[in-house]
Amino acid sequence: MKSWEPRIEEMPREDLQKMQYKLLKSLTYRLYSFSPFYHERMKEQNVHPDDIRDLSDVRKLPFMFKRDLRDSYPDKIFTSTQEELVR
Amino acid sequence: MFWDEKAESLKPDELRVLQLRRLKKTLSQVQHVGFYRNLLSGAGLKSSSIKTLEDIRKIPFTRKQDLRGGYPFGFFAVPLQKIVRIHTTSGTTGKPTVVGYTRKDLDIWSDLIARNMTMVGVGEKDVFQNMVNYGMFTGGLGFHYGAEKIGMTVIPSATGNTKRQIEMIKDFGVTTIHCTPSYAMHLSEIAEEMNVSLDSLKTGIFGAEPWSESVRLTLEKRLGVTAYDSYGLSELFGPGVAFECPERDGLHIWHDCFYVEIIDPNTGEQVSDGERGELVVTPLVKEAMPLLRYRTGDVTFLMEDGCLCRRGQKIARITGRSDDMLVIRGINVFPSQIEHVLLKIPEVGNQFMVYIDRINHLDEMTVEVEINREYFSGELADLARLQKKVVKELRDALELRTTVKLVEPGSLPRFEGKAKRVIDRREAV
Repeated sequence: MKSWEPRIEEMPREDLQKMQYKLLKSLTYRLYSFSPFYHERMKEQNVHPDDIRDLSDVRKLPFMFKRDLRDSYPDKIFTSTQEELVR
Repeated sequence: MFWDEKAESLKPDELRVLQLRRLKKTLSQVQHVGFYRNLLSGAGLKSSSIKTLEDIRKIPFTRKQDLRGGYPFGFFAVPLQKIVRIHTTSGTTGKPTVVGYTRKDLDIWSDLIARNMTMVGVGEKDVFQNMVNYGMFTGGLGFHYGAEKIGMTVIPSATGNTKRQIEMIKDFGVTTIHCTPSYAMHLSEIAEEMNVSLDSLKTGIFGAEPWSESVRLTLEKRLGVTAYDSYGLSELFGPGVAFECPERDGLHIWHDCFYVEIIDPNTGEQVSDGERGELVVTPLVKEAMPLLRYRTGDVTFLMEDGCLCRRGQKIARITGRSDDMLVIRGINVFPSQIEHVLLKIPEVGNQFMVYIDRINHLDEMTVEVEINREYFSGELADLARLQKKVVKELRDALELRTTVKLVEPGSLPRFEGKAKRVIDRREAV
């Protein structure tokens, strides 16, 4: 079977987890700094992006529910500006 | 503002050089299509026969019914692996007309939409609600990708649920809408009923059916937009072929991509400058489905050169058709399609009449057809069943909801000579 993106799709599990950790870490910083919604939530949960030290620390982060999305209608949860949105 | 300033403001002599080069390329591209090999050899033409742009007149026209003969893929000039999308448009009878696009075709098409949108001054600061069908109709995806290309925030709202559409315009701060002019009229009325004012709106792009200057004034007043006319047809990619600039006096047709002729539909001869006739277009950049001298059926004229915006020669707004095609709620319908459907239903006769009305700004089509007594039991339940069947068959073929009235055999008018089966009672839009 051919892969569309072999580098990612066929990555060894260990490398994949390293990559996931890196992405999770930067995502947490981005949301903490730019999203008032997530900033609040992390504070409530008493967790800071610095507390994310490996992949399993994802458990420290608060859940998000469908109703949270509904409550932020129409665009309160976006971290991009209107100019950046294309759809 | 220009999207592609160089292409949009070519000088006439530069343009002719480019057009001739692209015409020659198109002529070699059509060699992959059986219909065109036969057409050109039948007319005694070789690729060397076309030396100047005017030599194009030696080539016979291509008509919509010719495309039908190629159903489904007979007009594709590339193998199916190279086709990345298919759209269809209503055919003159029975089967639809199929159009195919390569990746490059889609890229050029969205570039043309990008030119048009940039020309009317919208861009990444704008929120765009695209209120047209997103299926096989080219208006949905066509506008969608062009608007994304210039970085607008696109809402693919498609058609239907007018209250929801109005809510989104208000809640998302929509500045730009695209729909048919009749749907825009309907939208403005529902907004008034809901007591909602659509203050964020600035720009309205209306197309897929002809509309008048008085509708423009009404829509501008009711919706608070500047209204622009958009022209296109699926056989030439879709929307984006020609578009009004801020002068709003005629539509710029993209001459680097489309070679334009205006002909007398009866003789096929070129009309004199500024005279009204049928628009005939040879697309110059199509890969998947090149066409030569395509008869659009739309009536217009070439306007005087020299628009203030520096773009090329304009065509006048479309004033009618040179054939019997009807536009019902933005969908093209040929009376022959209706006849084709009715002929396949033995319980009804061959005589029919079509009435078109505009009710609350929306087109309604009523088809009257005679019952065939041989197949009719006289039971009321049968009558209702038959009526439903005709409605369904028409909807399947036309993708349009119609009202069907079954009438007594012999009660519809018989025609000697040219039948006039369509009564269009809509007031001019």
